[in-house]
Amino acid sequence: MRRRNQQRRAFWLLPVALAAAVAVAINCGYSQIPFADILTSLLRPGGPDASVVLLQIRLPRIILAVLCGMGLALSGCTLQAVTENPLADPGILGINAGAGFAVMVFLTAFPALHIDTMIYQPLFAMVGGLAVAVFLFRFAKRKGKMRPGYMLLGGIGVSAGFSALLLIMATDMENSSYQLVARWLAGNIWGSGWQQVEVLVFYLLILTPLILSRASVLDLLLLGEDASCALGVRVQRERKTLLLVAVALAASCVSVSGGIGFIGLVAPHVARRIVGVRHRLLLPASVLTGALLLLVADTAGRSFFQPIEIPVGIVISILSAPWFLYLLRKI
Amino acid sequence: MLSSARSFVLILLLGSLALVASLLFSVSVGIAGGDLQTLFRTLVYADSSSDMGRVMLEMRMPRVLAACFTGAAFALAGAVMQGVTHNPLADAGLLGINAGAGFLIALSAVLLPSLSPTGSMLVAFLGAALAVVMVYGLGMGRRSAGPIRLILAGAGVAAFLTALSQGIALGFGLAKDLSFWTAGSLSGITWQHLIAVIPWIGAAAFVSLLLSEKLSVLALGEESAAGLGLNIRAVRLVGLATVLVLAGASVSLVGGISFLGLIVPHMARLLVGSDYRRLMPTSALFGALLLVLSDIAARMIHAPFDTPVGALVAALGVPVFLALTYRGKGIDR
Repeated sequence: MRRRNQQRRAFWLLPVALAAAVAVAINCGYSQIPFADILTSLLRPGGPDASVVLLQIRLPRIILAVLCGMGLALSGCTLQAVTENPLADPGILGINAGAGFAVMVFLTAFPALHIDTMIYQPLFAMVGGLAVAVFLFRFAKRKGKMRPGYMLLGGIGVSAGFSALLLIMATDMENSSYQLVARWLAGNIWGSGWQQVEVLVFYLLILTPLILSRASVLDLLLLGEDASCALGVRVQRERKTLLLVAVALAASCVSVSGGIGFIGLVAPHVARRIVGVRHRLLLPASVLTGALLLLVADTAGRSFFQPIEIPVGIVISILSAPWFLYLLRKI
Repeated sequence: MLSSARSFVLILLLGSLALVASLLFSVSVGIAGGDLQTLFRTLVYADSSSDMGRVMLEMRMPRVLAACFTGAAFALAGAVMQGVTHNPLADAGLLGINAGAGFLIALSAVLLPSLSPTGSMLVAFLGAALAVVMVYGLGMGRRSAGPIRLILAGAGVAAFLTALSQGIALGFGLAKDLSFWTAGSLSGITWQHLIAVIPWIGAAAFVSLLLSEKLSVLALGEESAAGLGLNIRAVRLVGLATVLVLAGASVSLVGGISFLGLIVPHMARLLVGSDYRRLMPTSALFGALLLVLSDIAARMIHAPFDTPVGALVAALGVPVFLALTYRGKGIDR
C-alpha cells in the first residue's frame, strides 16, 4: 500500500516536468522572444503586441510534439500488452512505415482531397497501418500461437520495404518534395500549423478514451490468454479492438509527424519504472512520458544546431535505440 | 557430378556475359544520351574529345564499375557471414555493419575533413568492426545468440548508428543526402575514389574465395568440422575480417546497401547448390549483375532524377527476407 502511494506521488512529477518542458520549449528557437512578450501573446493572442512567430509557428509545433508523443506512447503501451511483447512499438513493427506509405499514396493519388480537408489524411494512414498489423499477425502465427520474435522480424522487414517504396516514389517528385519524404523517413514534425493540431486533436479525442477505459482489460491480458479467459474476458475480441485502436492512434500521429520510432517503446518502459505495471496508472503515465520525451527531443533537435534542424525522429532514435538494445539483452 | 559441374560453368559463363552486356548498356545509355557506337569509338580510339565520350568515361564508367564491384562485395560479405555464423538471414545491412561503417565515415568527415579516400575507407573498417562488437555483445545476452536475436540487435544498432550519422550529416552540413546512410547512392563517384577502393575489395574477395572450401566443411556442423581438423576459430576470424573489409570498403564508396548480401547468396544456392566453392563465385557474379541492373533501373524509373539504388534493392530484398523468415528454416534456434 505504501509503495502504491509512493508511485501515485511519483506520477505527479510527470505533469510538472511536462509543464516545465513546455516553458523551456517556448523560449527556445531561432528568434529570441522576451518573456514579457510571450506572456502578452499568450494572454491576448489577438492583441497588437502578439508575436506571430510564437503563435503561428512555435506554439502549434510544441502542441503537435506533445500530442504525437502522447499518441505514440499510448499506442506502444497498448501494443506491448496486446502482443505480449515488451519490444513492441509502432515504429519497429512497421506500422508507422505502412501508414506513411498510405499517406504518400493519398497525396499523389488524390491531390485535390488534401488541400482543404486534411481530415482524410489520418484515415488513409490508418488503412496502411492496419494492413501491416493484420499481415504481421498472420505472419507471426506458428502452430496457432503468436511468436513475438517473428512478429518483430516481420515488422523490421515490412518497415524496410515500405521505407524503400517511399523513397522510390519520392524521387518522382521535384527535389523539394523529395527532401520532404527523406525527412519524413527520418521523422520530422511535418506540419506545423493549427490545422494539423485540430485534426490530430479530433482523432486523439475519439481514440484515447477507448484505450483508457480498457485499462483493466489490459491488466488481465498480461496474465496470459488462459487466465484472462477464465476471468471472463473475451480475449480475442478485446485484443482485436485494442489492436485496432492502437494502430489507428499511431497512424493518425504519423500522418502529421514523421515516422518517429522507438518513442512507443521507451515511454511505457520509463513509465513502468515510475508507476509500476498496473495500466490504470501506467497508461496516463506513458502518455505523459511520451509527450515529455518527444517535446524535449524536438526542442533539442531544433536548438542544438541552429539554424539547422535535426528531425525529432533522429534525436529520439539516438536516445532510445540503446534502450531497445538494453531491453533485448535483458529478455 | 559431371553434369552439375558443367551446369556450374554454364551458369558462370551466362552470368558473365549478362554482366558484360549490362555494363556496356549501362555506360552507353543515360539522360545525356549516347549509344554503343560512341562507347566503342571512345574506348578503342581513346577518342575522349567528344563530349559524349567524356561523359561516358568520366561520369558513367566509375559509377557503373562501382556498382559492379560493390555489388560483388556486398553479396560475398553476405555469403561469408551466412557460412561463418550459420545464420541464413545474415547481411551486412541487417546486422548493422553498414551502419557502423557509415557512422565512422560521417564522424571522420566532420573531425578530419581532409581525409583521403583510403583513409576514410580504413575508418570505415573500424566502424564496421565497432558494429560487429556491438551487435554480438548485445545479441549474446545471457543465452546464445540465435539468428532472431542477432537480427533484432542488428536492427537496434543500425537504427542507433544511422540516426547518429544522419544527425551528424545534417548538423554539420555534410554534402550527402539523408537517404545516403540508409539506401546508398551511386552518383558522384570519381575514378580517384574508385581506384582507392578496388584493390581492397579485390583482395578481400580473393581471400573469401580461398575460404570457400573451409566454409563448406563448416556447414557440416561445428563438431564434424572440428573432427575433420578444421580450425574453426581461425576460419571465423578470417571470415569476419573479409566481411569487414568488403562491407567497409563498399560503404565508403556507395553508402549502406542492405539486403543484397541476403538475397544474392540465396538466389545462388537455388542455381548451384550449397557447396561454398560454387556458391561464392556465383554470388559475387550475380551480386555485381544485380547491382548494375538495379542502377540502370534507378536511373531510368524517374529520369532525370536518381532513385537511391539501395531502395530498389530493398524493395526486391524484403519479400525474400519475409519469405525466409516465414519458413523459419534454420532460424528457430
